[in-house]
Amino acid sequence: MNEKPLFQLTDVVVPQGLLGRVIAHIQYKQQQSRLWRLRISVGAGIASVAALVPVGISLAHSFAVSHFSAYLSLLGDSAVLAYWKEISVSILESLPTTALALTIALVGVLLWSMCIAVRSITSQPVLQHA
Amino acid sequence: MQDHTDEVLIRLYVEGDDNALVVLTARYFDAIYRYCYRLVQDTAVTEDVVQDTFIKVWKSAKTFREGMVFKPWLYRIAHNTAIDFLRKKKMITFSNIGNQEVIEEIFTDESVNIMEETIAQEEKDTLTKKIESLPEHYKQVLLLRAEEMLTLEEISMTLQKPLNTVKSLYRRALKKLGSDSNS
Repeated sequence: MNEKPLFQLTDVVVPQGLLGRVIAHIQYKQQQSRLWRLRISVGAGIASVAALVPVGISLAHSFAVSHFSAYLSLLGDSAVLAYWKEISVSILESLPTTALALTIALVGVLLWSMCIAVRSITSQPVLQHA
Repeated sequence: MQDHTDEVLIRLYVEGDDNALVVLTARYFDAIYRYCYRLVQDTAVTEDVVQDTFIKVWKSAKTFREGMVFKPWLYRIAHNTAIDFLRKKKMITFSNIGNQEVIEEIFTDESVNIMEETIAQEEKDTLTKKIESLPEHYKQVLLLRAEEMLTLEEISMTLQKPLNTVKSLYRRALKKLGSDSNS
């Protein structure tokens, strides 16, 4: 590609300091965006922890009333190992799936929000322009 | 980082290196300012357009895909931002920005070169005034080709027009400039 322009036109003078002002404005917007992400992630984290408490209690209760631990303990008995397929199906059927799914989802939200929060805190704005 | 290509810099920015965007901004700042000023002809508006352009670049950096070329992508953002400002200020009507049919005329590359050479001999000020008074669709193609040195393919990507249309607009713009010189 040609380095020289095809036509010579009158010069256009870029105002002094405009580049710095534009970069500063972009950095301001980036900072605002980071703060928003931090607020949302902290809010999501707090909400997920708050929800995990009752859900966790419900999950523990569900495990207690189900026969899950009883079926699980059978796996240690060599006499019933021949029926491992049936025992496995019973173990799976006795799982409190709804409470478990909810707990996993809330833990996922908590981990995601921690990830976003850490990224927002650790990403540094550029202090000077090239 | 100054030696990195535009595409590498935008990828570095998307991966988390904010300094890469600063380098890209500094690299194209004057050229984008110049192009926008030629379109809008107003210093204050140009400053707003240029600022909005680079903010849009920052916001849409993640949409820049492997295989895309940065320069026409950037110029497209700048062009669209300038046109939006002009529309808001009603400085151009919709029909002025290339909605007319462009009839393909037969030019050889040699005749285009002759036109370019003839026009290049004009005085700077006279030539600048003539280009700035051209209809918008001619002016845009001419500025991008002659001053910003984009290839016709890049102009086609910038203006989102078919290549043949861009070629035709360019030739007609040169012809119009040439005929204005003779009148």
